[in-house]
Amino acid sequence: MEDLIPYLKKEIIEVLNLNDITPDDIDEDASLFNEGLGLDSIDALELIVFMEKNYGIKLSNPNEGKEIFKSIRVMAEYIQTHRTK
Amino acid sequence: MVQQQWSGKTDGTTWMQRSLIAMLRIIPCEVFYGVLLVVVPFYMLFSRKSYCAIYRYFRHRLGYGRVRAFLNVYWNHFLFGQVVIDRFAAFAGKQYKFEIDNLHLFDELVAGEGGFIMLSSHVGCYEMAGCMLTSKKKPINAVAYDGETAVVSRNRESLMLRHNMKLIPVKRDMSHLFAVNSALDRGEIVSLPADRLNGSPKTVRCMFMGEEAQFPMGPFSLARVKKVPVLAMFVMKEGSRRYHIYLSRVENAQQFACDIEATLRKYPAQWFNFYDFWNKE
Repeated sequence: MEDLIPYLKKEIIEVLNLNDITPDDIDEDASLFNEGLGLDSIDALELIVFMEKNYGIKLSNPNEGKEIFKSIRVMAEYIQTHRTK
Repeated sequence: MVQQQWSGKTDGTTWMQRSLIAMLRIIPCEVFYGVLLVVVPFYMLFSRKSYCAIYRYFRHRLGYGRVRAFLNVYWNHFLFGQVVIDRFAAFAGKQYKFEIDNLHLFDELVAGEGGFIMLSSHVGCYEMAGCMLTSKKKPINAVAYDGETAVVSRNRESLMLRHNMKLIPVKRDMSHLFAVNSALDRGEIVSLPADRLNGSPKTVRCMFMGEEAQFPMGPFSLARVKKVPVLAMFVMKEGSRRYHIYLSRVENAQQFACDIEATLRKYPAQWFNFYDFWNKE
């Protein structure tokens, strides 16, 4: 779990092309959208596809999705318990 | 940015829209077109913002003289009224004739595996294609801003169900993204507007009608992320009961802008973005 968080940070920076951000800049408890990392809807879609491709997690329930993308830590916890690859 | 844009709603209250649909079942559209002839001047007079935006479009983008631009604003508003009536008439079950260019592009994508994206824009009347370009094999999911009144939405939905279409309303909580993603995963069609920014911070600057304009990046990013092909569709009014559908493959926003431009050169009066599209901000 604690290994997954830094890995996720690195991956998200790469997938979303957040060039001016380093993994250390991201607070694992801060919100990914809105005031936190300030991601937008296309970033959200990238994350949905990322979860599917890398961990075999299909997110089709919007309510659930909102919860999962709350922060990097929540994402990591979800991946830990639901990953199929 | 947001407040200068079109509210996304069809004018008129609920009971007006409902009675319009009821009347269109018995009265020919042409009668309503006649009423429009009289109503449009008042609309031009009282809706100054849309008047100015369209006037500037004719003056600066198409280089028309003052009188010609003024007359064309009238014609543009008149045609817009007509396509709104046609849309309600389609709800009421009226039939229209369609001619389609490049239908094979649609057929090939429908026959193939996987989903694809269809881009709409506010030229002509995209929604009229709902009566025509549909597929039994792949449902069409139309992404729409949730601004329409209940009557328009409900009638849209019943017309859509008949034609294997579904609505995906855009919500603040981004729930539409999950719906769009799953629809494309199921190999379905997703149709979405690609000429409105709707507050989206990510835009692409494209040359459009001789001047730079902003287009939303979303639809094109969606195509890239999901690795699906994109079709642009324009449904242009050619007569009181006749529409012409144009289909083309699109790779990026600039190409889409060029396709809109080519369509507008043929149908200059069917530009229905009633705000300053070439806003510099």
